[in-house]
Amino acid sequence: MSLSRRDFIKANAIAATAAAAGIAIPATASNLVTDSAKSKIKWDKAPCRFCGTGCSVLVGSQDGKVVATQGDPDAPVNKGLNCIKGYFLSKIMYGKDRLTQPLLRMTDGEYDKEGDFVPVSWDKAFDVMAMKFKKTLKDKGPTAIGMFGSGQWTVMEGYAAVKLMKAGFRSNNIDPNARHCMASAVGGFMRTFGIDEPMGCYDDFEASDCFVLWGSNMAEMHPILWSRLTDRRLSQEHVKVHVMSTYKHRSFELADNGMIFTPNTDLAIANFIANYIIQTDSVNWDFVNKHTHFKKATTDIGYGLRPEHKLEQAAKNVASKGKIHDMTFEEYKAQVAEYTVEKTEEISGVPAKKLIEMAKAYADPKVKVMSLWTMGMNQHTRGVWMNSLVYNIHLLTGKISLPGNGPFSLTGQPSACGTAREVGTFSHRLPADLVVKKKAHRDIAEKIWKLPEGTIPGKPGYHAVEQNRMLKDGKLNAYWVMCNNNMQAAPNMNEEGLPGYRNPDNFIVVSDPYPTVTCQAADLILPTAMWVEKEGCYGNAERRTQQWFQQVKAPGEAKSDLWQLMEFSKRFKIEEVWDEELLAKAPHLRGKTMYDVLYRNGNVDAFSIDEAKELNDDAHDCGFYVQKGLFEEYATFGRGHGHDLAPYEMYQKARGLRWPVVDGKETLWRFKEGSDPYVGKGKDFEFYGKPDGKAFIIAAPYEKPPESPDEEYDMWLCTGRVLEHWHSGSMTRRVPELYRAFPDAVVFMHPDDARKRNLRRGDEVIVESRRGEMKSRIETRGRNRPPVGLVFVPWFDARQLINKLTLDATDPLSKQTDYKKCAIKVRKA
Amino acid sequence: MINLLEHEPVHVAGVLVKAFPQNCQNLANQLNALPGTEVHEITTEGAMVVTVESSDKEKNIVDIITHLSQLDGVLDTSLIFHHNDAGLVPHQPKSPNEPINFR
Repeated sequence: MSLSRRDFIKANAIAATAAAAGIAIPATASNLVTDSAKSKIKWDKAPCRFCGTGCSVLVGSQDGKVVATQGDPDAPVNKGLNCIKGYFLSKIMYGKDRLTQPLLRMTDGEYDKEGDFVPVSWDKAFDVMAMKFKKTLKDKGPTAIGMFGSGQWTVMEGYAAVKLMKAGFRSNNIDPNARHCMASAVGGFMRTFGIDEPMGCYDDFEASDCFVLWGSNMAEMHPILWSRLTDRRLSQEHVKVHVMSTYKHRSFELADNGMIFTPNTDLAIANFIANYIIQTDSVNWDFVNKHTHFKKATTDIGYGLRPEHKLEQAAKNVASKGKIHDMTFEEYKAQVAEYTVEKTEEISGVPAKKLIEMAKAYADPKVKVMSLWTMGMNQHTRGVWMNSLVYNIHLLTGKISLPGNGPFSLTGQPSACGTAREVGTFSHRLPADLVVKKKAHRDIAEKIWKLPEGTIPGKPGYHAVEQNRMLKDGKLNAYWVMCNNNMQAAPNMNEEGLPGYRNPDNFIVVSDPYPTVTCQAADLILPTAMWVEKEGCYGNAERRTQQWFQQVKAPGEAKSDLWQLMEFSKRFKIEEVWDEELLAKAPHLRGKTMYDVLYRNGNVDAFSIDEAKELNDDAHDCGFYVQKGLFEEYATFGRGHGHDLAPYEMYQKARGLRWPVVDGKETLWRFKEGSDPYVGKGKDFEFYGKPDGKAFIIAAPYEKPPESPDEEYDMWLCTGRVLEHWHSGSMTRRVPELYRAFPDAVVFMHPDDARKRNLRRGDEVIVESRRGEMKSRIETRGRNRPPVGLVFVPWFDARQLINKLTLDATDPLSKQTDYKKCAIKVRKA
Repeated sequence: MINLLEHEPVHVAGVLVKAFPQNCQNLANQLNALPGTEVHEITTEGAMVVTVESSDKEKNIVDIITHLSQLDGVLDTSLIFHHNDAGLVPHQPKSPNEPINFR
């Protein structure tokens, strides 16, 4: 059969798509496999560079360049599928404006904060940077040094950074951008279960009878998981999908029960469901009696604003905000009894019938329910409470840690779990859920790191939002931003972020592959190798750790974050960073560099370069297999303590493994006897993160948000993402196909609101809050349909900085910013 | 699969579109009416095998996919295949003809 080129390609397109749909391949296409001998392409696996789903992609490289990618058919997460971003993944490394040289602000050949960016050598860049860091240390001590890291760092990079900051510089002022995305989820896990990360896994999608989306728009944000959820719904008639959000979005297309609620009232809805379960006598008493305690959160805790803010002054319990009090079931019952269906309908705006329909699914012991959420619940001034309120529902009914039955906190970044949470790159954390404020925990870290007792400071450092405040106030002066775009992301950019970076007292270093908004606000820009230009590991939302090898070289002089961290550490003698008191405890370390002390400690350099691949620039620069050494030292923290990682070699072969990996076996459902080796014999369930194995059901009420629409600022602003772009768009906006598909951010608005303001679709508008304004265009149709009184604005567009408007209120418990609600007004430009 | 070796790409994409079975025929009619869009198969569970072609080199095929993914009733779209004939062999699954199926 003869076919034209176009017909040939089309037949292939049909065949591939039919295969993905599970249909037998039509005969015309099955013979059309091109000659493999022609191809010199080398294929290897890597996890996707974008969201927290953790899809595996096959990367084809030829002559030192990535020339092709495809969804990995052998990957259990995505089984050959890609979302549209993932499809174009190979193009993210080849944007025209890729940074290939360090750039320093200079005037007449010298560093000058007011100067222009000039290319310099790495030597010159590190000379100036080391001089600034040393001066800061000398003048103000370690608390004036800080770092803002990433849930996109590899596990090894995050781990090397924690060591550099907490043990080397002895500053806890290191925090990841994951603070903006997952901190409330962590807080919820720690308070309810005493151990971080979901108990279930993605296998739940194929086993559940009912899905409840708490604010999540999975159709756009987690498309591959959405595809699995859609398959389940379409293949099983009895399966139901409940979708809650503050505006209508693409996930509502699949919803059997779609609900639009007033911002912040998810607190009331969750309490109503608990009340319904009690009122209908649907409590699983056997489970509740054996495996839970009733507790009560401290209320009126403020909004994480600056301490002098009037809302903080007015809040009664800012100091004792984290305290959890004992409570009886009767007291709990009385507290949730307030949330009747009538009252909840009134607060939330969701019709009683819809609320009851959802509550019934949770209450019915025969229905397996999977609750799903991401930023809607986490970027919330009561995000930690909200996470726990959903756990309460699952604990009251015993619907947890079972296939298809359980709460599932989705993740926004590829290694928010693996790097930010598990490695502990937060200002209060250490690896494997350890925290700096506990001496016993610091002792463990110091022992593993072979450092003297007392090396790690016990006071938590500045968290993300506080870092910007301290930069502005001149208390944080030498600052390194890596692998994120915080000037575009952090809230209240005009009043906090930008004044902090441009404060003349401060020296700001930004490492990135592209000249982002954050780079432009920096004093020194370091060009960075990305993704498969280095070897690394990521950890996804279902506890799956995935490894990849370096597959191509980075362009120009771009270097990995790992190389940058380690190379910079060579510039400091340990006497320059540690005081005499500490040095006296370890005289053998005198005269060594920070690099020697932290990374040539017999652990990190334990593995020969012969074990590393020929193409592994970081390892060959070190002279030892640095990624394996870092990974194995890090893994020591969790092995035997419920966070067991497999030996590094296993990850080189597997499409990821879900921890705890005990005796080579991954764990699918934690806390359940039979599926989790840590659960004691005969216990059935054991929440071993808590001393007595019992989880907390933590009562918390509805409280008002810090800012609501009023007469002047008369609308809600909700920010978020769109399918085509990932986060601030620094990668996806450089892929021509994705850029053209959604080039500019728009203001999604209800047609009635537009009419009221005399606006038409496409009109140019000014969106304004108390903190700043932004020019954009009105969209009254399309994928997002807000209710009257709310606008949705995506934040990927560097030319439309919506974070000039957002409020820097945080959950006081998790310190995570609320990007989902503040008051704004919109007028014609 | 995306293939950057393609110098003169033919703009053809294979897209898997999902909808409730009762909406499939109506949606298929709408999709067939879109320029360059053709529905080849509809399964009883609501999966549609769709190709999108563009004769105009400048026209972004992703725009068409974005448009069709936002039609009322479309639950999910996955771009499976996009211009690929520069001697590039897709990596084969362990058993080559095993259909991809999450169930």
